Amino acid sequence: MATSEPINANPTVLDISQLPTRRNTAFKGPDSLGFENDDPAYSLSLFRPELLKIPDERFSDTYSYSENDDSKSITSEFSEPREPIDSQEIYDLISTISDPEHPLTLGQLAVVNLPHITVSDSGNPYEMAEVKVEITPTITHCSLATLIGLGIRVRLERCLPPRYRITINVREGTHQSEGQVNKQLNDKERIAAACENDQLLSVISNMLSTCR
Amino acid sequence: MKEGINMKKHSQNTRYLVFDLLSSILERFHETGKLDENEFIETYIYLTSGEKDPRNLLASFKISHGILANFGTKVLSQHKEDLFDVVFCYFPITFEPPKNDPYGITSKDLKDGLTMCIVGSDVLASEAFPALIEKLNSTSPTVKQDALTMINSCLENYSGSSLRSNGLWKDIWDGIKYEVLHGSDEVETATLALGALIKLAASVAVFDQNGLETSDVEIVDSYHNETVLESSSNGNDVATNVLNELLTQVKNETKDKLEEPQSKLALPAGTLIAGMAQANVVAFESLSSFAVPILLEAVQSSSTIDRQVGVLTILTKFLVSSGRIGSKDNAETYGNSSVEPLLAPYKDRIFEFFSRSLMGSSKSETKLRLLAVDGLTILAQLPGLLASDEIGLIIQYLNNIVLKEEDDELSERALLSLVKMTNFGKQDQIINITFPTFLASLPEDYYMSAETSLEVQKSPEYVLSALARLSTSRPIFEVLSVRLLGKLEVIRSVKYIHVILLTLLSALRKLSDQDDLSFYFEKFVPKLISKLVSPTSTLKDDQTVDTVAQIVAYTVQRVTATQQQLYVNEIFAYFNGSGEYSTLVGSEPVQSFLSPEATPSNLVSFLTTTISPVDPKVQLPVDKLSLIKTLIEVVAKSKSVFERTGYLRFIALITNKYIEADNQLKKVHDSLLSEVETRADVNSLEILTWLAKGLLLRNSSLGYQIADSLVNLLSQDSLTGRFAARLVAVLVAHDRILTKENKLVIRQLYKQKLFALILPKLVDGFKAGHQRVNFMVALSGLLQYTPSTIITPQLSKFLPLLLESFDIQDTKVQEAAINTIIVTLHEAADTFAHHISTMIPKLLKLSQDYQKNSASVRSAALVCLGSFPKTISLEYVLPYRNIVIKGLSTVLDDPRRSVRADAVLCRQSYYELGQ
Repeated sequence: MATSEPINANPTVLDISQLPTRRNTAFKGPDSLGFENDDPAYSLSLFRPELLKIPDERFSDTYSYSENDDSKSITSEFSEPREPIDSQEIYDLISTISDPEHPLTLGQLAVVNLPHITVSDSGNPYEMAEVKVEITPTITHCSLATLIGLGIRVRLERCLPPRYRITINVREGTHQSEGQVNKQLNDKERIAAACENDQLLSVISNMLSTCR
Repeated sequence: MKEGINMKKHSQNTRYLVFDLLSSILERFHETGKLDENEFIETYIYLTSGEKDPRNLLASFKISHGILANFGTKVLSQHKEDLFDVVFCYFPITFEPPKNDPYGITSKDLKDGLTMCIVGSDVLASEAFPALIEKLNSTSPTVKQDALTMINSCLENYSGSSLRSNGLWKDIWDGIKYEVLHGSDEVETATLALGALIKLAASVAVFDQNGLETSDVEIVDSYHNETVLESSSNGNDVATNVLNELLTQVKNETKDKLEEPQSKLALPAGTLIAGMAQANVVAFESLSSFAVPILLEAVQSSSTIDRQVGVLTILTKFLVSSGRIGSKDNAETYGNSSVEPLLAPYKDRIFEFFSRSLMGSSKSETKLRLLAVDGLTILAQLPGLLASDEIGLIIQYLNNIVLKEEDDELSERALLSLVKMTNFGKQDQIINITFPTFLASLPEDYYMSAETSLEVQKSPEYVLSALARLSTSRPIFEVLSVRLLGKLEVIRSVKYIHVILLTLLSALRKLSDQDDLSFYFEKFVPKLISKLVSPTSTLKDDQTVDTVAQIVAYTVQRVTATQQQLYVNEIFAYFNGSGEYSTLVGSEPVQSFLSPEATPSNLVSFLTTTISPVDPKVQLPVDKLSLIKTLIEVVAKSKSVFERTGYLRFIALITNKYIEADNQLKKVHDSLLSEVETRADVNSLEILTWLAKGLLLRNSSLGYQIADSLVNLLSQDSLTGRFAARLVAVLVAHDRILTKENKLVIRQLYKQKLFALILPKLVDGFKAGHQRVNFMVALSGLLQYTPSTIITPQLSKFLPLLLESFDIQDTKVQEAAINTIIVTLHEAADTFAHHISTMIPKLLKLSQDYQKNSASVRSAALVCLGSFPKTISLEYVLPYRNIVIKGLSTVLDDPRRSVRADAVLCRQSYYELGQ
């Protein structure tokens, strides 16, 4: 594959800065240089409020030590709202996969696009969830569409909890043999067979090696 | 002479001797003119053919260079083919030095030697370029880049005339241009190719008096028969003609692409033409007057975003090129201001187009607007091109974006541009235009900021941090200080005050080391201090006191010892309440902070911080021992963490810096220890620990004695035992006041010595079985602040203990244990390999249980687990591949996104295992 002429020698490439990201918009203010709580002089003090319950002024003989000073943080952790798996998270997982014939990622080539990913997840770890990804091949006769789709499936199967059902389709009207490719991409037995092919698997491993 | 030697028969060392002999002959006889050059070359070529040993090759290259650099042109051109082939056959060099190579020859040595030969004489030009250009057909990027690097070297060294003769320049141009025009995937290749073309254009235009000018076809023969020396004027004409011809080629090649600036091929074409424009002034005038009108026309006729992006990018490249020429040629060409700067004819249209792209485009066109910001910034930098009011306009645009733009990246870029401008002489305009605008956008006080406005209003924190970043030099800093101190007078909001002080601190720290801070010490520090200590002070809360302290301490650190002495005297006079008038504070002291009866105050933390950086020569106007005693008395009354830390650090500071003999502290120590032992007094325990901290830093034996007492307390089933466990970390933790920069006496070895002393006791105590948690907490505190170089050699002694600590439900202990593994894993991979059967299930369990373990512990466990495949040898890890992959499937459903991301990474590294 590497030696033959690339199928699309000159694809359109997006700048990395244009790709969608989960930007941290919270502004932190001037470099916080002040009285910091992670300064060991403060954090190791014996007089931290969570260590001491001081019932009266004559504190020296009435210390009580709260045995599990972390129990509070754990319960607050527990009650913290769940950060759900959303389409951006899926995008982050698959947009860094490399294209099999260009040294570029699927995000840069706009093969995967944020609006074409849908996630339905109740958030309940005991219920099934589903993710649908529609890919856009760079050209309509791209014979590598199946390989790319398979790469995405392998990546998602490795990265999502088992309760997720994964559907990968070629976006409508972007490929000559749409139906055929879609069938191939979502046929359990064919996928299992493909994953036993060592050569194919090593190509996919290469594609996934740029993921982070 | 040496026809009898058959080199192939001899060993490498013998052959080396031959080369050595040749080189001696060359050296000795060539100067005297007794050497038959012709014969020498023939002999050399005969002897060196087929040589393969790197050391011999280097020697051979040296001889070849000696020949090429010194022999007559006539002889050389007779043999040029052989001379070239005998060296060039080694290109490209793929040599990789063997391990333990006794001669230490690197691939770079060989490359340099080879290059030195090829560029050694103009004569080889007609051989070198065709051969090198042929190498560009290679599919290997490395070979291409090597060839281009060599072409660059050749162009740097060969004379202009050798490039002009026989139309060689045209072959080079034709051979290389596609590397730029077709936008190769490897940026490196395109950059090298462009660099070569720039050199080509610069070089063909140079007429050298002594150079050979053979403008006719018959180059080979002309060397034999006659050397054509052209007259100066004639030669110049030839040079100019060739340059113009080359430039015409460039124009023809790029014209149609530039007319369609939205196409994919336009950018490489623009890179080529704008890049080559930097060759010299003639090239620039010619190429820019050709390309710039085309580009401006292209956006005039139909102005889609894609077109604008293309044109902006290429025009910016022209600006950059003009800047490069400016710095090279301006000295002579543009020294007198009567000459117009480059691009002057198009300046108005470029400026107008850039401004329109920035301010007139839709908000969503971030890419275009980013490019416009960059373009305008470069435009403003070009000397003499824009008028000062035009630069003012650019600054206003940028101000506007910084203050009102929603897109973070864009406003960040605009701010960076403003910061750049302060660095290239636009400082006054920034002070006059940006500062008033930014300061005016700050609310009067925090409650005012709720004002409703349709435009995006940046938070005061953002504006203040922008101001701090703009403060790149002392004049700007002074303006900022005056304005912000003025603002402090009217503000009531504690948070707002604190943010302003932080801004001052960060701007202060940005001043360069050369800046003399006396002005600040004399003008601003007294104002700050009198505001701080005034009875009606608005700067009373802990964080604010600490920030003011850091500002003053930074200044005190940077003034002379005499000024420091003055400061110390005055500040102690105030804190002692001694009745003396203090000019620094500007008011009569009202109370003493440093008497046993005093009420604890957070201002003592100010005193500690600001006197900590003074030179050891500076005398403290107090008796140190009684000061320590007083501090101990006062701190006993305090329950505030911040307040106490001020006193405790003070005690450690005095102990370390001002008390030399341990026995002076004997009494203090004894009474504290007895308080701990008899009354289980926590306050005394903490003081004792800080006293030890000051002592340990200077490796004093009393310090180790206290550390020992502390460890002995661990087995007690009481509060004291648990507190002592926590305090072990204090002994080794880094403290920002007790530092080398503050001239404390710090012995490097103390951590190692302490570790060696405490570790066995902790391990034994743990094994003994009483209060095991205490020992574990103490160990984790110790590990957390001890460098891994000290920990690693001792690892095997406490590893089982470490693994057991995973089960202690304490985030800090768990994190310390995991982090210890992570930082020592690389060095002690073998030790860990034997425990992998215990570690993997434990780490998996930690990462899985999100109800019990904090997110930081879960993440740390995943990072640790994920680093095994990279460090521990495969045979140990591989059996766990499927266990880990399966075990992590539940972690992929963790409620925290960051933990899921860590799980994905970790799992991936196990999938890749063994492939």
